[in-house]
Amino acid sequence: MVFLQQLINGVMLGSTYALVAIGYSLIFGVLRLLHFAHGEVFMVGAFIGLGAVVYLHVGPLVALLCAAVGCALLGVVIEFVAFRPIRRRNGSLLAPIVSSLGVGLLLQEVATNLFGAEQTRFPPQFEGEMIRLGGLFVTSTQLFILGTSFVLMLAVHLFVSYTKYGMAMRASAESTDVARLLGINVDTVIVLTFAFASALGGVAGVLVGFAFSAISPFMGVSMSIKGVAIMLIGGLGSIYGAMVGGLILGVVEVMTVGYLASSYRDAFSFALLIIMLLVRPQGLFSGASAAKR
Amino acid sequence: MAFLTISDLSVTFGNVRALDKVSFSIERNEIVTIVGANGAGKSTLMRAVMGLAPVLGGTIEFDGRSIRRTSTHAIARKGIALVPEGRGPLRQLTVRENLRLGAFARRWNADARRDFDEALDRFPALKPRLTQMAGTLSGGEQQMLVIARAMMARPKLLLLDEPSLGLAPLIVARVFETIASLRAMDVSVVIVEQNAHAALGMADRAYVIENGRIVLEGTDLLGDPRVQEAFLGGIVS
Repeated sequence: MVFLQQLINGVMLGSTYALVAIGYSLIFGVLRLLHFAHGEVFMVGAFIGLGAVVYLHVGPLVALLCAAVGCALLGVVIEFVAFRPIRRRNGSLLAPIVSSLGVGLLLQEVATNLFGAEQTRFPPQFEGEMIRLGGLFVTSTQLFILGTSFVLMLAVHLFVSYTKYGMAMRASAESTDVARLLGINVDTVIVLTFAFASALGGVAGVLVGFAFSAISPFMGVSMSIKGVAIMLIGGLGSIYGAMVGGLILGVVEVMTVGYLASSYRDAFSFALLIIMLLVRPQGLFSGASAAKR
Repeated sequence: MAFLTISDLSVTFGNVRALDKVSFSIERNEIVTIVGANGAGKSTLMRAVMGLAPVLGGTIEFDGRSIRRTSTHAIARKGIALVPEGRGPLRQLTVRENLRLGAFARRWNADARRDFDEALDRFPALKPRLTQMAGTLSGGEQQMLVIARAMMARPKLLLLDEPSLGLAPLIVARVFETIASLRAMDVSVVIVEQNAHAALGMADRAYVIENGRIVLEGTDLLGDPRVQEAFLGGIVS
């Protein structure tokens, strides 16, 4: 029973990781770019959610929506300011990485100056009631987080698989030249990808705020590393790999804390990553295109 | 004024001049073939029309308007479709998705669905493969798919870059039959080929390109002794 309880906790944590990692995969798929500032977008999402809850007194769903819209705009601004100019001038392959790191640091310092370097309390959004499922207890917060994450993952799947722009995204991920020849404006697809990925990251930030009741300007740092790690486990650019990889990492972390030692949480997670990469270097869902099935 | 007119077009990659003051034109509903050896600049010419090559000088006019500085997707939306050389299909998308994206610039309405059905009638080999990844098709099927996909855009001008490349002779014959059948569809076609015989046979007019220059132009290049020697192995058809 304890094990199942831990499993639920792990899946909950992992589902927020998955939302962040999907963003990494979408952006990597279309741009072949490691968007290191994506972890900071996640952090900004958490603060937007906090602001919405504290100052606008909105409910949790509206807070998520505020973070999604705010982060989508932030993602688009980052693309226009930090990446598009470099692409236009055929800059070095490494330039966007530096530019991405720069944006991440900027967001972090702005947040530190606004909210302080300490952890900020995120007021609880749900009554503390426990819901009994057989012998297991699930809090309403956990249910909300799981529900939101899985609905969003399903939405990502449906969007990428069946909509015109989802197909255009996959086409651009495979070959920007062929996409252009078909009349697809690849720049529009890139903007859309940033908006979509950043919205998911922002939502994940608020969910983590709900889960831990505390957020900080530095919460994006480890999330950046984990997001990239999950993308590697799942297979570069694969959104389904990101979903599965996120859940795996979340469960491993919680199990490590539960059964081994909490101070070794990240050490075990990354040892696992290294082992998985030794066994399956191409990742679980190999292939370099966004949304490979 | 021809439908597509290219004048004095020059393209350079670094210090290499890929095209040197090339002039070329095609009328509405005409089929024009450009033959030339590997590396003569055929593909570069096609890519330059689509805005995918660094143009140094010259003009490109389509339907009376300059498209030299127009972006690739906008050129495609004006009605020019390029079937690129080799690896044309989106390999990790299904056959259906490839065809569907061919009509990206159009509304997916009854008209587009009818074109989709017609494409499958024209290329029956694709029908049982609709849900398969395009990358799993044979070379011939992939070539059929990219031609079908290009036609889904209802282009007014179709550019085919080496449609016979890497295909078995029997399949090549079928590809060219298909191209000939496009004549009924109110579309101008440019075929760029190394495999000159079949391509010259169906063309209304032809050009020979050599080292980035057009060296010959005519309506009956198949009978021209210089072309026979250079591209047809001296065999008189």
